[in-house]
Amino acid sequence: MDVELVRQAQTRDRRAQARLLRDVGPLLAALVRRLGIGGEGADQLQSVTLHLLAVLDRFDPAGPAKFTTWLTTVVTRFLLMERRKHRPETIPLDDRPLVASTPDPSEHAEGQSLEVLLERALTQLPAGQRRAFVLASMQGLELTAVAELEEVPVGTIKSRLARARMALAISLGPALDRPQSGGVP
Amino acid sequence: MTPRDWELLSSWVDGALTPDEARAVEQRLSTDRDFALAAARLGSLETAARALGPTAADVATWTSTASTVVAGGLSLWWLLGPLALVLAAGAVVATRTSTATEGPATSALTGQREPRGPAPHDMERSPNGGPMPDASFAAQTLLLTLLTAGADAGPTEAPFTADAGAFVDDAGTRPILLQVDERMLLHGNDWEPGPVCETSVRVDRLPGRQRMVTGRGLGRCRLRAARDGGSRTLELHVVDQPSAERTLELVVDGATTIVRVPGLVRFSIGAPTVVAVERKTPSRLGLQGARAGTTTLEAWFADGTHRKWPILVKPAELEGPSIALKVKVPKVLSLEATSELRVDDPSVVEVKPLGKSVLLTGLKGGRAVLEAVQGAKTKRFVLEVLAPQTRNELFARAQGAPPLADFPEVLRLRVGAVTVIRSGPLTSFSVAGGWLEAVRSEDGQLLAITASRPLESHLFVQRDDGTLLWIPVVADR
Repeated sequence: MDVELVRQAQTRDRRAQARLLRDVGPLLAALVRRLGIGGEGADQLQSVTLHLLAVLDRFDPAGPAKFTTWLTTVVTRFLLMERRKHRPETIPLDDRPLVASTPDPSEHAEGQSLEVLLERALTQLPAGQRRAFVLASMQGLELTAVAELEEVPVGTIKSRLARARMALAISLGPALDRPQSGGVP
Repeated sequence: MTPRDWELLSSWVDGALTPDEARAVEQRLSTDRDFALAAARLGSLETAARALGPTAADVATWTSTASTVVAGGLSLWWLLGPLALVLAAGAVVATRTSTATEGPATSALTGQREPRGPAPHDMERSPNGGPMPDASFAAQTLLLTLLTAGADAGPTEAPFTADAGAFVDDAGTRPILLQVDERMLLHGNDWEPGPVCETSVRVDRLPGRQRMVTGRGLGRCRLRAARDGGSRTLELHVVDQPSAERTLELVVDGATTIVRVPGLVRFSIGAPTVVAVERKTPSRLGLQGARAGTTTLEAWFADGTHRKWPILVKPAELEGPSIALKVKVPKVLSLEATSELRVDDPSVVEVKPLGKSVLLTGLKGGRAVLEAVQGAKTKRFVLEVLAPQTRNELFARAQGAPPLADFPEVLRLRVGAVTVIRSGPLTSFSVAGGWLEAVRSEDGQLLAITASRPLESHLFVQRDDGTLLWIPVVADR
């Protein structure tokens, strides 16, 4: 990400803000899709965008954090706040089965890229495990940062991450065994 | 493989094990085939996960929706939801950038082709020769966020600064999207579709906390969003392509007026010191008054026509909002960069500067005008002090009170006056908005209602027989 562009956007230069949004838009859409509350994607994406512009000043371009890491943190925190406002159920999400009762993915693995299979398998994970995996493994956030976002101890995040990895490794097993050069186009 | 084994491997992948634990895992990897296979799968999984960025669907979601909606018209708003305007910034910029480099620009707003002629002012290009993105125009839709005074802000009035540049088209081709607070009331209409802010705009409710403002007729108005602690005003202009005969009226440092000029090749302004002209898009000019005076805008179009518009720039007259006060109940008004305060009737209200704020205290019932000098401008506030009234006084005129049934369509009030109506036995009642108050008499037969400022709101009444009445209330001066 162009730090200079971020700096310009922080000065409320609308062109810079628009260019910045064009650059990070797909990432925002991906984060909302993977972390957001189901069924409100368009609303959430808009809310996230407006929130990002509102708090853009808080990013320190001279600081140690990369902009995309900071953005991931901000968006995740916002989505979690939204989720808490709209908490739809009271049972702990992590009490759900570790592996969804879907047909054996190996039956469908042939001819499909690992990315496609992984995206599909992610949707089957309990929300807490999915967020832990998306933030730690995909977005590269430190476990302590994920724990801080989720407001749970680091041990809980480790546990969720381990369960997520176990579920994904089991459900994607044959696809993960393929040579990566051939399996990932 | 037990869950504990997976947890161990997961920590190993994260490098979260102690050196001794890591050595133990690595020794086991060489002897335990299942353990090694699981570790290999975790490694592949992590590699795939790190490579998994936004998908093509995410890119498409972000970039395609806005241009579709902008070109498709208002109806698609309801199909595609509020995503469109927010996405307009990115998408329209992308559209502009690509079309400008590929050939004649196609306006996403009008669908008209706009040839790029060899004019003295080549409007399609930025000063550095690159394509002229439509960012500043499109991004306005993103930035019109109405913020409320915080819940802990007490009685502080939010500063009333009109957001310059807010505009809608009369045809609704460029509506404004507002992000609002759940507790916010827009001019007393509480999100219901219908006339708001005189008759020039309407506010429609979109899913979530989004509201869309579209033009109903030409004009300008102020959209007020209010909640407990204060309110915000957004100045809106509903504009169309001005006719050659019509004089464009601007205000010094006022909101930018956008005029549509499809097919514009070049333009010229007679007195640039009076009006600042900026080309917002290939088909739109933004005009802002710089100082009072008159001048003429001339434009030449691709079809060979030439038009002139007289422009009148009026001095700034900043009219602040009416502020309702109660006797002996202080209220804080935020007033930054104010060098002088004047109040025309100090016997009605006491004014004390407090840093960047002003403490207003009503002394007796009445009305006073507060003028705040801010640089070269003066902002004027009307202060209305409501005299205390006891419940008995409120209902003193109850004998002749008309029954509620006499207000089937609208209950009209005069600001500051108390209207008593014979409600009959009620189970409950409530009013929408913080500037409208209602109180029931002790015998439960009368309802006194008063408004502290001009408004449109509603009175909700539940009768003992279970019927619900929803009575529009309009308060005027």
